[in-house]
Amino acid sequence: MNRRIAFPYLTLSEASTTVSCWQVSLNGGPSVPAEDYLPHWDAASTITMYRHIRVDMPLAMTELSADNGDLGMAVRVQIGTGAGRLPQQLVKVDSQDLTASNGNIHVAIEIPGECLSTVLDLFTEIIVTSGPSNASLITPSSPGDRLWQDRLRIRIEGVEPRFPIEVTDFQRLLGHIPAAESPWYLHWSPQDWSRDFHGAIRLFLNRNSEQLIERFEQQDGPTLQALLADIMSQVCERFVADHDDQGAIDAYESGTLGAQATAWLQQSWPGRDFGFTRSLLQNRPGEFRSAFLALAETREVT
Amino acid sequence: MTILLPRLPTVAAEQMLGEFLRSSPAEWSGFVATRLPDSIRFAAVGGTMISPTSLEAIRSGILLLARDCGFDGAGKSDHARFDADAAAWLADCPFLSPGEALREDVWSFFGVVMFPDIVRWRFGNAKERYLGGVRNTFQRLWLRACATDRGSIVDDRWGLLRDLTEDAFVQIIERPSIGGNRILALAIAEAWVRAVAKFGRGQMESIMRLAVLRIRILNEARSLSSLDAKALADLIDNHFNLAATSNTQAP
Repeated sequence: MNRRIAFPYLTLSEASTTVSCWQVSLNGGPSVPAEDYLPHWDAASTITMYRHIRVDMPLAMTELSADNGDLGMAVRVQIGTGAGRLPQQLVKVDSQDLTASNGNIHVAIEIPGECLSTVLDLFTEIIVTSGPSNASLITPSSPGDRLWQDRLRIRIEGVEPRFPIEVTDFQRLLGHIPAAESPWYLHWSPQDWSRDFHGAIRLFLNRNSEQLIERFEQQDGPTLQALLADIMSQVCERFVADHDDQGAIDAYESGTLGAQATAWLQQSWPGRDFGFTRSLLQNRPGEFRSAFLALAETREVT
Repeated sequence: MTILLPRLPTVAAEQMLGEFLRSSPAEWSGFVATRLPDSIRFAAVGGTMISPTSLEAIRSGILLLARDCGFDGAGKSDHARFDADAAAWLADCPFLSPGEALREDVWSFFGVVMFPDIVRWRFGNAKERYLGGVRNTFQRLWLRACATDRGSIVDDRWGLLRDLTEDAFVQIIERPSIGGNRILALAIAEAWVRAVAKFGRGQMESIMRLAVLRIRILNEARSLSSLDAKALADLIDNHFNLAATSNTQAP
């Protein structure tokens, strides 16, 4: 269940709800456990996804305080696709009712390759379909109330949604400008903070900086720390400079460049408001930037 | 068989766009389907590369619509009509499969290589209108057509493309939790039309923004797209009504 949301009603627990991992079959081949990357996919392929969901219905009714056992529920799977943290397009929806006598659901969904792009997004939810005849104040009762959910995103092509990084020839990339001699270059634009983070930013490593590339491939701690801190501080410094108030910042939707910058700021200064970070950047820019060097030591970008 | 479309990587797109924007309209060498830039890529497998003839057909189809709306000095420009007509045309275009059309590098090709002249007419020099992304001149039209398609059996299939304003489309398409769910997107678009009849166009920007914000929050806990059509329409109408009330109470 999504712990980011404080649901205003009771939800299902792991005790009542048992869900298998997704199994995937490509072009009618044997099904195997789905991982975060599906190799060998192309637009001519057909993917079939399988999953078992078992809800202990008497226990579920107790958990939800639906004393008469007549709360209507269904398992619903939304198949989406497209790069980014949320799917750009809904491809298919599969919905099956749970009944008092049958809490076992077998999901099998066939997805034609021509509908898919970059990522296959599988969002599973157990929802209310009809309210109970007798309920407490915190019993879920409105159709659509979400009782359980999980999401799996499977990359089917390319590098996204991992942080986009590429080793390249900087003379070809940038031409004859001073930046072409730098060991790395973050390609991004602050013009649109609503843009999807993964589409808005790309880190290039200079092919001539062999030592840097070697250290990067070996995941050398200080090297990664310097790179990640540079990314975070570049984005956050401009983000703070571009915004005036907390309200504008809160409006950025999850997965956008603006939301990512906000998350980094909150991780650097938990509990502090935007006015504080703005003041810090203006008055103590060294401290502002060093905070990202510290943050980068123990974490990965994305 | 999927038709594979040309993909223009971001860095190359920005370089080419920079050159285009630095030049005058008369200096653009035009689109030649048989001579694509070196930086163009196609998916390695999974379909057939689009033919030059098909690329020319796309160019001609859009060009015809643009000229009918004032492009190239052909009368007064009617950008809104171009957007509506071109969106429907792209959604019906047999060469655009959903998987290919969801790629930003494909739309960078449209904006920078195939139609920079039309983008300049439509939006001037705003880079995000040429490069792939939800604000790309053609990507946004294809996305809005997909999201507000009433279905092939409905008489006024593309009526929402004509009725909704640019701001209304932005509120739907640029919010992934809504724009990425055609059930919810279509329901909100239809509710917008009903709200206009009730409250008038003058107030709709603020009403739409508030209603969409509240619907997005509600959708986090409640699977709105699972509701039957009538229940979903009533719920969204109610949010438009509440937003209109808040709007009139605001100082």
